[in-house]
Amino acid sequence: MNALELVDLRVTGPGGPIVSRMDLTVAPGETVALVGESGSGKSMTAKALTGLLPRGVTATGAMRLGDTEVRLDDGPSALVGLRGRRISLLLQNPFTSLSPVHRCGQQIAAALPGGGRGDTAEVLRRLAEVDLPARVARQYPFELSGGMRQRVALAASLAADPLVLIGDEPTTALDVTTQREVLNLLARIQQERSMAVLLITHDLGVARERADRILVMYAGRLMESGPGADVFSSPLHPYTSGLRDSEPPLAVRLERLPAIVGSVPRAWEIPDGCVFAPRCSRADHACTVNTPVLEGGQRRVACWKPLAAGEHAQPTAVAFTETARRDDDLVVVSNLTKRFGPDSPPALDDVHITVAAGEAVGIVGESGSGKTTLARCLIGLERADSGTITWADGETGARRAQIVFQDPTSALNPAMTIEAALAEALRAGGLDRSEVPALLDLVGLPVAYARRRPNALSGGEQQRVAIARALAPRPRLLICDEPVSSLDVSVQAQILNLMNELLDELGIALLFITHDLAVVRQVVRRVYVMHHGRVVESGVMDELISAPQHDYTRQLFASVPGR
Amino acid sequence: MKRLPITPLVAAVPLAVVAVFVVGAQWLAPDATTQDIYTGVTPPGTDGHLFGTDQLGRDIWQLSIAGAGSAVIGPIVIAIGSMMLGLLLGTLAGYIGGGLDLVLSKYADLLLALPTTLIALVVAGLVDGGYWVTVLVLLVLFSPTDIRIARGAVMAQATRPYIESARVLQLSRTRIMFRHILPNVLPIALATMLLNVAFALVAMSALSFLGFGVGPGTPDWGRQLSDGRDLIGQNWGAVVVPGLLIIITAAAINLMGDWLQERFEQRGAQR
Ligand SMILES: Nc1ncnc2c1ncn2[C@@H]1O[C@H](COP(=O)(O)OP(=O)(O)O)[C@@H](O)[C@H]1O
Ligand code: SF4
Ligand SMILES: [Mg+2]
Repeated sequence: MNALELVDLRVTGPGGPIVSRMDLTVAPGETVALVGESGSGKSMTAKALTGLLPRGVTATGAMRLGDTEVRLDDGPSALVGLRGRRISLLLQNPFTSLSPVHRCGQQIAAALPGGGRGDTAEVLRRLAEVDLPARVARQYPFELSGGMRQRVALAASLAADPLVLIGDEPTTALDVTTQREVLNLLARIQQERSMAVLLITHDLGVARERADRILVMYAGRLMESGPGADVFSSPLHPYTSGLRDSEPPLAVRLERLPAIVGSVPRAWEIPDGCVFAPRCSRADHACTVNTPVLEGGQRRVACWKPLAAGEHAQPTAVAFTETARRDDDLVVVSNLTKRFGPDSPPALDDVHITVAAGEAVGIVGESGSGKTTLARCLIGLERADSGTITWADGETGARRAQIVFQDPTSALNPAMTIEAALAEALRAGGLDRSEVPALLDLVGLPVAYARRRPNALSGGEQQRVAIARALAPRPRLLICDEPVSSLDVSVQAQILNLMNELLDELGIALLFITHDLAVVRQVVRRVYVMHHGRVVESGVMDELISAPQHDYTRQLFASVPGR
Repeated sequence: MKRLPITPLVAAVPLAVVAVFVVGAQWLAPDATTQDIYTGVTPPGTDGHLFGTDQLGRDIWQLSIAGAGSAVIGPIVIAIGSMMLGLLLGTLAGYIGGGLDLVLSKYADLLLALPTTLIALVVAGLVDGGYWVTVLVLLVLFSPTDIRIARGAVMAQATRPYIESARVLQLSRTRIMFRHILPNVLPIALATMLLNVAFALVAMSALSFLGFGVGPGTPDWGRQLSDGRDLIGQNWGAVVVPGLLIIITAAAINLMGDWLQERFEQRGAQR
């Protein structure tokens, strides 16, 4: 008997349907991955199944948890008494499920089957199950690292021994090395308990590596489902294959990533017929009229013209021809050291880096390794305690260096039109606002966007504007701090392609900061690896991949999921 | 599909009526101050006087229409003035920070610690009343809230990446303050301003009820209330009409301000 069976789930919000006609089964001990880009309805599915939908959002459909029938139409009350005991939810951010004012031990105890009054031995056993020492019982969540916090949240959500665990991006906020540990732990506990796991993720690597079956979701509908080994190696749906191809490979640097055009529709933009049609290269008239349904046996697909076997060979990857590094240094950083507090460990510890004129350089490392601090020192937003930053030529002010941040939405002034923002940046470089159309064109945006405000643009379009603004004063160095981390893979590929085109065209230097090795691989030739504020290794990407010298670098490469 | 905004619609109706009173008083209530001592007090429903008359024979309804001006104009001036003061000082305190912030914050704390109406009473009494003196005193006493709100909003904006981008573009402080920060703080300031109009309306009416503010004989809701107290046995309209007008107007402005504030907060959260 299946642990979870879901028939015809529909979730509706104030803006229209969020999830349509979703069927789902998960057997005991099985891991099913639900993948899709942000806004596709993955989290809303998880919330519907656990009775945690926000106000104004309703669900219909029938669910069976083991031998218990649940009618989702009856509202959240149908799940009271089952949530936690039969089905449990683990979230991306443990802070949202853990209480900040209670000790971890109390929180696990409260979730135990008997309400857990003072059952210290059981709490310690549960902590040990998630590889945590006993002292954690007396600590508060904020005293723990991200990985430990997620383990506590896992122990709490497993306390009442549920049949089904839903993990909504449970490791997305963690560093790759910690992510691997937590996923391994989850797999071990799952086996021991023969628990069903529904793993929600946007990371195809995680899905490929961990799932027995994969469901691909787009704009609230299932596009494709099948065994974990097959879905991405021989996709049937054009979206699945586009998604897979958008993922940057770690092994090679491509001339161009095959990107899907456009971006995920917002709730009110979802079209009639096939929801993917506006972005599908195979779409014809029939696709925009009739809605395809998920059909098939072991492998199922919702598409009128699915890909045939052999059609989905990886597009011919044209490897990038690297040019040798120029030797005129643009900026030389030496002995840079920075501490944020007298007792805190140094954010930067004796850092040396150089960037040549026109060179693209990467900085990789986990969160907290000092990457952003280095960037902020370079750009003048932060002052180092000691060390020097030497710029080679006389260029100063806005024309020396510019920066692109991770979150494009907060990087643009919501009250300013795109035109005003770009005109201002042009003026900062002594240029005229008449260049605004050329600038928009440069980053691949229609000139008509000049009159819009940021909130009328998608995340990817906003990031293009942020890049245009940074390029406007014609800086010698462009610093990008995690520029694609908050974007969907399909849009990430578009932006990475754009960056490569711009580097070619403008001949400016680039400092590309990221935690994602495969991403940085696509843009730079040389990288610095940072760890605890130090540069632990540097070199040409190819050599680093084939023969990493430092332990930490090796660990970083080994942790990349799904390779 | 957007839900129709009920709250602002409900609030807009009485506010529109009051606005018509203020603008059209001389046509709607030409006889507001015409006295007729021989008639004296009459109850509501007396021929030609819907809500009766007061002891001077003035028509209560017309008097109330004419009183709308002094009831709302002063509070509007107070709210706008204190908003501008708050924005200016709050932006300086929040963005420049340092010693200036310390001084301005202490100043705001000091004013906030004072009991507004009591101080207004004392000052108005000292410099011998007068409508505009009361307005000025209240304006100064209202400003610390605006300073605090503006300062907080400015500080919240100042660390956002778009401000950092502006700094990296080497834009001047003045430009960052006025072109980037101010427009994003304005919505919050405007919502606060509306709420202040409501508070000021109640405060001004209370003061004129106590005999401060408008001069004797001038139509004013607060003064009508205090004059009407003695007539309540003979004409309840003399108290109920201005009283209801104060309550309804203040409540409507308050509703509108709350609604706006909520909307701006939602919009802020979506960003
Ligand atoms: N609180 C909410 N109220 C109404 N609609 C929401 C809410 N949160 C998200 N949505 C909508 O639900 C849809 C799916 O979102 P979500 O489940 O978060 O997707 P995912 O987890 O795949 O990123 C989106 O269109 C989003 O706008
Ligand atoms: S149904 Fe048509 S538009 Fe939709 S994915 Fe298939 S081919 Fe593309
Ligand atoms: Mg989500």
